[in-house]
Amino acid sequence: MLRQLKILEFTLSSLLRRKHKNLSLIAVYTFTIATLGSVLFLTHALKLEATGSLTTAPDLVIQRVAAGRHDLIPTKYAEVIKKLPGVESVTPRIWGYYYDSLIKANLTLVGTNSHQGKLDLLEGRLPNNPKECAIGIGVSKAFGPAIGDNLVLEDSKKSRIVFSITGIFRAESNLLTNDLVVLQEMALRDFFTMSPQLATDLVVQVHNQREVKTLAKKIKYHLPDTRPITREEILHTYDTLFNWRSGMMLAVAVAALIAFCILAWDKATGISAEEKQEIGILKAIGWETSDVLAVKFWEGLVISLTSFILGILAAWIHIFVFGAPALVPLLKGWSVLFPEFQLTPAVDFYQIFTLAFLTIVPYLACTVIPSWKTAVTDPEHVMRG
Amino acid sequence: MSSILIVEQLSRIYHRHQPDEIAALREISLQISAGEVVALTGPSGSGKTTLLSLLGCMSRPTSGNIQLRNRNVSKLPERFLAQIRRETFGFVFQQYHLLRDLSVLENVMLPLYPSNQPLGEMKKTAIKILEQFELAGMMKKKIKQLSGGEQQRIAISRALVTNPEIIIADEPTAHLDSELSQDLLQILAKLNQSGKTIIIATHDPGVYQSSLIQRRFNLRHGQLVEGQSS
Repeated sequence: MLRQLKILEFTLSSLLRRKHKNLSLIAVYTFTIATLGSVLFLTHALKLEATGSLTTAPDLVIQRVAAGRHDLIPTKYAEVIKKLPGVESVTPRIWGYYYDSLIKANLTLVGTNSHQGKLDLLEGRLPNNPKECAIGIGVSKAFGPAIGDNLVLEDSKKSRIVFSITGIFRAESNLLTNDLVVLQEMALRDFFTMSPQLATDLVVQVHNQREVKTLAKKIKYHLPDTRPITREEILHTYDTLFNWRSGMMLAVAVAALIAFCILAWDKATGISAEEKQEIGILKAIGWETSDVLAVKFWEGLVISLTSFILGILAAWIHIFVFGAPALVPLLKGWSVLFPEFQLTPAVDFYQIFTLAFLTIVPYLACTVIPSWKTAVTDPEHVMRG
Repeated sequence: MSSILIVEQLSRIYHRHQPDEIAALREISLQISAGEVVALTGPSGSGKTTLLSLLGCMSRPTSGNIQLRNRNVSKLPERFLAQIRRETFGFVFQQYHLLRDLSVLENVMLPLYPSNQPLGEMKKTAIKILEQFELAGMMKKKIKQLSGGEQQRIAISRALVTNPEIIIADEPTAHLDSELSQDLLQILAKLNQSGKTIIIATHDPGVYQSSLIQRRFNLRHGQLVEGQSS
């Protein structure tokens, strides 16, 4: 134990002796970990935001398709669906997008009865008359209003409609409520000039979860111009979307990692004449092979662990404090523009462990193995060069 | 005096069974007594350094035996050899082989790291040795800031810090002027008076003809050519 402590002390002083070389190595290593960690953190946080919000989503969403595109659906379709055995309820939803040129972002306008997910309010209440609205945190931050202030939206006739803000949504399901403006159903129909016979889509709850797919097929059979979407399909879409995007980013990041590994391997295998000489001297004056390897092991561990911790911290700060400025355009990239939103910090320890295993272990091997080759050679031979 | 080292039929062949095979030593036999000062002499390439490294357990012979205090060390595993090097031998290398980025004190402490001494004790032991060689004033200096003579004395301090029985010195005067060479011989004489066995490889007549040397082994092409001379 005492011997190991002394060897650790020697290692630290040895690292300090080559501080410029080691600091530059730590900088490259940290950057690699920070890049990989950022992709993992962001993907995981986005997936959690999305899937967390969608767990309370309806069993089925029925959209009408016209010319291959999503179109408004007649509310009378609800009557047809209700008659199918196994259907618990059918509710028409009113919602749509509103582009605000001032903040250069799309807002999602939803009717009070149309949001099926959890709508926890941070403060205030939901609107109970046509002149009121509740807003997401992103909208609140973008426009700057608080409860009691007014939100002005311009309808398709260029008329400016004033809504009084009665509530602000909690950031918990940030991804889905961030850009939300909730209005009373009739107020929203007026705003979108939408006929009472039409809805944006229909949400269907079923009695037995195992019948969801069968019901989707039946709805499609009875109403051929519809597209039934199951909750699993939405979750799968999110998963695929984020996995595909993170996969692309990881491919780039892994290339950086491989480059780093080659560099580390080159550095380690190309153990310098000076380092070889040092190992030879230590062996000649009575150090055992295990002592030399312990020095190299601690050296590798200190560098890789320091870099890993710094890299993970940098990734955390990049994603959850600064909002991932370097990656957001690539990973969030939706077809609509969102107001800025803050991700809820979430970490997958399995991913962190895997990343640690894939970066620390190879580096340690790169450091120890070439030194071992030198350390088992007769010191006389090593010192002669 | 009892023999501290007995060498029997010692050979060392490099690149064995290869086209560039070299027999650095061929069937050398000799004995060194405890407390003796011996010189291994001969021209460059005669096998002095090879013999010295075999005697100091820094490499293993191709054939033959080396007995250290009646224990055959020529076939011991590396970890036992490391322990023997640490506890029995003190090495002074031709190029000094100090770690240039370490301080004087750290260099002298190096052989003590694998020992059971706590760090504080190690420091005290190293400082004591440095004081004996009047080097305590420069213990914080880096090796690269020192002259050749100073580096030589630090190399000797490092060799003595474990209080070894046998000092092995390879061409210790090769980089010293005559005055510093005389100083070195005086240091070695003092060490011998304190009971240390000293083995010096040299081709400097100033060393092997000095009164310090009690016996001389002359090597040519890896063989003892003149036997032992007093």
